[in-house]
Amino acid sequence: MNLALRNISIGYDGVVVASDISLDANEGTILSLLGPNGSGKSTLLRTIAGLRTPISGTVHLDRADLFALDEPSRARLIAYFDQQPSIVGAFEVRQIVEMGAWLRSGSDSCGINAPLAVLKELDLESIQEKPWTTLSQGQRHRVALARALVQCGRGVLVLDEPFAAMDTRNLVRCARAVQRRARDGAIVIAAIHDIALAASWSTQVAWLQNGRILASGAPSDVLTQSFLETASGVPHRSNGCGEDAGAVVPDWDAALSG
Amino acid sequence: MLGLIAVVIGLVLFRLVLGRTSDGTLSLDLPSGIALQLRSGAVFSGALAGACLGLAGLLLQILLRNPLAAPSVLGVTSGAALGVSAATVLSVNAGSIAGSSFAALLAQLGGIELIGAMVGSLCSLFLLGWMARRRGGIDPISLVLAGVVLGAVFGAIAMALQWMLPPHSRADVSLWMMGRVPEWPNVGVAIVGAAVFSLVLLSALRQSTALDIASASEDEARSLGVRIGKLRNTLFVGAGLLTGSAVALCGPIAFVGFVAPHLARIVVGVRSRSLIFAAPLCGIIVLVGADVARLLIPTSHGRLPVGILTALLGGIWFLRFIGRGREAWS
Repeated sequence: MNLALRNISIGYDGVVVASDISLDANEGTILSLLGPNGSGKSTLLRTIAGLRTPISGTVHLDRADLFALDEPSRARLIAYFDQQPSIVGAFEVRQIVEMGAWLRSGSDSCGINAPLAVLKELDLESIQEKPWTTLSQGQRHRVALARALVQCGRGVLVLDEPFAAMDTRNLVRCARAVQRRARDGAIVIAAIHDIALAASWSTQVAWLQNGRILASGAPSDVLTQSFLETASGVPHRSNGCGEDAGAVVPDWDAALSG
Repeated sequence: MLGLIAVVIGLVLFRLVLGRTSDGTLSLDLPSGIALQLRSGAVFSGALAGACLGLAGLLLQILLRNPLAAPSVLGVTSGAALGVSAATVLSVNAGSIAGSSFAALLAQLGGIELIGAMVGSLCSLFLLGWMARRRGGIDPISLVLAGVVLGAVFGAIAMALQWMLPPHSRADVSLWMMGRVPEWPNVGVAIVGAAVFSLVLLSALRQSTALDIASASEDEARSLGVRIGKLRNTLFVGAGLLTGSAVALCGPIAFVGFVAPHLARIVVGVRSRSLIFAAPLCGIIVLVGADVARLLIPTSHGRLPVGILTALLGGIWFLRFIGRGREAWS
């Protein structure tokens, strides 16, 4: 399986937000999309999920043109996690997670991606009968992620800030669950704000800023101190734990005292 | 669900045996002949209109992702009533000029009301749908405001049209505008209404899982594989036809379509598969129940039009619902 973006331009109402974006992702890839607020990460992810047509350019999954597929065929290949999952009505956790499997016929064996297995994996079993209206933001994100894993644990996972609202324990649980899908052959593309997390979690990163991809590649090649300082304009320092990507953190004292 | 069916059967039987003796006291008797015909006619009209409004309200609430939505709240019943007024004015004027036998036949079959109500409700729904989709969406409260304003505008136009009618028929029309359950339902309207209800019910049932998923945001629903455009188009038109049928039968009855889906959710939960049956049943309970209540309330000059009772009940429920705040639903 190969996901290929070629010369994509994205934007709203004819205004171009970012252009000339080309990216490749193969089975097992976890590609983290980094960059400042408003750089177009969410729009790019919606485009990859087939929900917005780009101003120009193509997205292909193997041979299939994403925008030529109808919703059900696309849903069998690609799952999308919205940064603000929403549902109107007091649906229960389990009902929402099972929505990920509605296109599947009963005979499909889905193993670790069966609704009950995913509920257990993301520690949602104990709240599976709680209605959505009573959940916290972090719990809602975990439910929406579970639904995406049920839908496409073996396909493409397009995740927009999946971990932003989670506590550390649940973040690790969820990040590992996504990693497990990648190891089994899924393609993961996620917008992430935590650079240290992106450095450890991803196999590739791409930095979107000023309407284009500033840099992309392996985390250790891209996320260097000099690149991060140039891109963010904020002084960085080593956290004293070696030279790896992710060992460079913002120097808050220097940044906030200036 | 069985409980709902039991309540419906109980209400229907009660409505059938409930009568008033000539000195105005209530009586329970087994009617025969003309009395039985009148009472079963009223039961049939109330049940069909209640079921149509309940299902229409449910579909609008789901498709617009707005628990405040309902045909009357969004001005759709007013649009249908305007359609009926316009059609009546047209037919009265056309009738006085041509007196064609076709127009007379159409009038006898209730065709005037039916066509007017259908066109009126569909037009107002399209207007509303267009407003809701412009600029990528409209928040629930603003949509309700838009609906209220639309309803007021439609009402004003309908009143202006009534002044174009001869004075003797004005009183009939303004009584009709309050909403009532007819004891002699028009056969043509009843048949079309029943057919519309069955078709929309089946269509909604076939798409019930997609309807559940459409409660999520549009992006999420589409990415889960729901053909949201097709779903909206078919069932939006369905809701319009249901409202048109109910208005052609009973006039613009308010709030039944708002109350019924909420009542149904309390009984059977949020799954569309159950709600598609429960909301029409609750619509029947509300409308036939209001019809029974109006018979029990003594007034000196005839009995209250049923629309006044449903508006009182529904209006209070609506205000209570808004008072609880949006945390209660999203």
